[in-house]
Amino acid sequence: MKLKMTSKNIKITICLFLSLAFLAGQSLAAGIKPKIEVGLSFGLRTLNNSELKDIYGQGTNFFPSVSLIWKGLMIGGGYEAGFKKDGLLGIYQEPAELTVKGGEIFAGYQLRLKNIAPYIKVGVGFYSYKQVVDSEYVSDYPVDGNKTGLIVAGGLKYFPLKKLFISAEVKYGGLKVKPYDTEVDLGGLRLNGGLGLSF
Amino acid sequence: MKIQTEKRAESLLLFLKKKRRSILVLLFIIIALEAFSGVVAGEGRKLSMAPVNKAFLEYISTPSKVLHYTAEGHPLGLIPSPRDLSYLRTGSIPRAKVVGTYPDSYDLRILNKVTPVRNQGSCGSCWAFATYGSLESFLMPAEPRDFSEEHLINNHGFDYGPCYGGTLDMATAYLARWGGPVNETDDPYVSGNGYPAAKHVQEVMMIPPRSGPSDNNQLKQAIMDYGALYTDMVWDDSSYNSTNKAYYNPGNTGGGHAVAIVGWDDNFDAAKFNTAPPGNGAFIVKNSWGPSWGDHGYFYVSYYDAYFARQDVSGVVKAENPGKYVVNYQYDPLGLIYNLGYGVDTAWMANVFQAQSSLPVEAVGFYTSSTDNYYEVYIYVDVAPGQPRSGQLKSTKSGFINSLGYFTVELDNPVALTTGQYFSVVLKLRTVGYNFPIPAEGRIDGYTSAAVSNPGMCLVSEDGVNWELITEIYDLDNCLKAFAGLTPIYPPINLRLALLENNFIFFKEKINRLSWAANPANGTNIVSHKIYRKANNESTYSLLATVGGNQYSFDDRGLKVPGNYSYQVTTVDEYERESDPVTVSASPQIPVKTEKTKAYRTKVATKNLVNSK
Repeated sequence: MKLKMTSKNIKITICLFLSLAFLAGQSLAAGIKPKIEVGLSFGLRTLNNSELKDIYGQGTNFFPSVSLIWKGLMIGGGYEAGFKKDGLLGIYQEPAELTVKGGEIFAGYQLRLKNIAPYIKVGVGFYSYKQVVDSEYVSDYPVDGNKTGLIVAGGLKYFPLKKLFISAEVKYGGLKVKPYDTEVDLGGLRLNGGLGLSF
Repeated sequence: MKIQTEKRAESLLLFLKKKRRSILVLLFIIIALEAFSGVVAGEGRKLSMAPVNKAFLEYISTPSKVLHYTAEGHPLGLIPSPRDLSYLRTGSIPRAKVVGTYPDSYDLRILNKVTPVRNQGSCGSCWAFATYGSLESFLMPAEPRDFSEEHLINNHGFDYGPCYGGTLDMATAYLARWGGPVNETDDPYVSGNGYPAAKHVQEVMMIPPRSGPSDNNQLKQAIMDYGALYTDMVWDDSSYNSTNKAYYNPGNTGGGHAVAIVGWDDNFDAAKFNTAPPGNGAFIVKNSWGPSWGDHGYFYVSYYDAYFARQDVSGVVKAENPGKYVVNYQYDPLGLIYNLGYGVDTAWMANVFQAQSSLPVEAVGFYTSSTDNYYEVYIYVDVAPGQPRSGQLKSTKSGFINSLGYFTVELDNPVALTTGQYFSVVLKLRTVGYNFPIPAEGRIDGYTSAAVSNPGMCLVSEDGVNWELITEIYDLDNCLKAFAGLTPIYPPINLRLALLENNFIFFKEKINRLSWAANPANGTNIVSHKIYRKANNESTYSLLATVGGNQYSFDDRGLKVPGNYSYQVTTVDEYERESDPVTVSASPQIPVKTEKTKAYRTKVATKNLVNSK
């Protein structure tokens, strides 16, 4: 699956997010209280770029988030961090470190069936990326930038207690960057599991 | 016709009968003279030794040697040399005719060709300071150096204590055997010893004593050509005018002192001296009594001084980089002590050496004792004992040296050796007007008791055919050195340039990779390679990096435009010699132009060219 961060996609995502926000606002105005869910998940994070994958390998991430859910409609945000990997780069196998992190906003739909709740969501990630190479020869080539990317995710929540849930989520985020002449896809799949509370 | 002949024969017999007694007396005188001079048919001349300086003999026989001091307490450390230089003043050798036009005044200080004035303190070491005053001046202004007088006075090898005086001969011996000069930083004044020579002195040009107040051209020419001159004087306190810093000794006795002449002033007023000399003119002289003495350490000596540069030789000490010759084959570490000869001004001498390494013999060093010297040098290898001209003749050189002193003659054809091989250096030397051409080193109690002869290695000959071991006649060694130099140093071979990209995923670092191979012709240890670079739009190379002698590649990293540079690589050996460069060039790589990427790539290339290193 490829998600291209074109201006059209961004516009669609923002419209979707604003529509859901508008609906939520209308519901609140009508006196219907939404549920608030806070969660923390942790899991694997892959890299789409095969060269980077060879150098840095698979990583991990953790993702604290908060969502508003009203009649199955969901909006929320979170912060993905924890992807920080060391590797050896280039002809001289010089030490390097790659970091990718950033915030996300998303909107989606969650179907509550007794004590389980499958859901899907789409959103936008606002990521920062940085590669630091321990070499005096590449100081003129800093890799330290910001880029937005689309995300698509789906998962399942299990409520063993009324307010406590256990989640499993598959998320894909695209993040193509091009600080110099080579385009690099920092996106990848996240396979997370976590815990959360629903109020 | 027949009758006339018979009459003539009869008259001749009659004449012989009448004068028989006179003829017999005449024949006796002729035979006696021939026998006395040692040239009776069938016998060679006998080797004899030049007279030793009487002043030296008096000095050496004095039980307690006490230095003279000036009234201000400065020690006067110039002592007599064993060489009797009176022949230089008798007119028996040719006087060099130096005809030239010289400026009225000349001052090496203005030309930045003197080093700062030093202070010998309470030590009788003026001769060491005067020697280095000359040598340091010779190297100025291109190479400011400060050599260690301390090392010289502590390590000259003669019997005198460090502060009990010396001579130019002693300094020459120390320098010619490469005992020095040592850097002052290695052995500062008042300290230890044991440091390598920072320079190799291969020539000490000596100028005969002045014959009179106007005999100054040789000194002036030498100062202009080479720098400050070592010279001698007799110090008498009453002859020094401390107001005008002017010195004129009309003939008063005093202590010997060595100084360096750095210039002259033909118009220096005679009235400035304590006793007015017959005319104007003075030498500008660098002393070694510190910068607070005299005119910032300098003073002015009248041309009419009775002793200044008139008793002993003056000298120019020249030096060269120590990498030119690296082995000094010699049996005369204490230098020229005696002169020998066969009663004529030509003689042969030879030294046999055993090769310490395979480095080729490139030069020969010896002393000359006249102002006109003709030499012939022969190098033989695989010589038989006692026969220095046996074996194979490998190199010859002949020439003329128009000066006294110690000289090095470079061979046109260096002689390759194998370690352990015996080779001989044979020298035929004619010292015009002086019948003791053979310079020799030997023992004199109280002066050179450390001298050790080397039996079987030093030979002398009257004719170059019949040789005799010098040790069978005198306990001496020839002052004849051989210098092994270095084989040429060659640049690396197979220099190549490869254009690489180092993949950092987000960008690719451009690298020019140089690789080369060792040149098998190099015979010395290679300690480093130097890499020079210039951009293709530049005109000169600049040093980029120095890598080890065992490293045969270098990556020029961090480039923004691959290629675009030319490189030179040189080889540097253990003697700090650097080879000629070998060059490789590369043109910038032009990115592939496709319709889709043309604009972008052109933009990047332009930016990179501006920012390229």
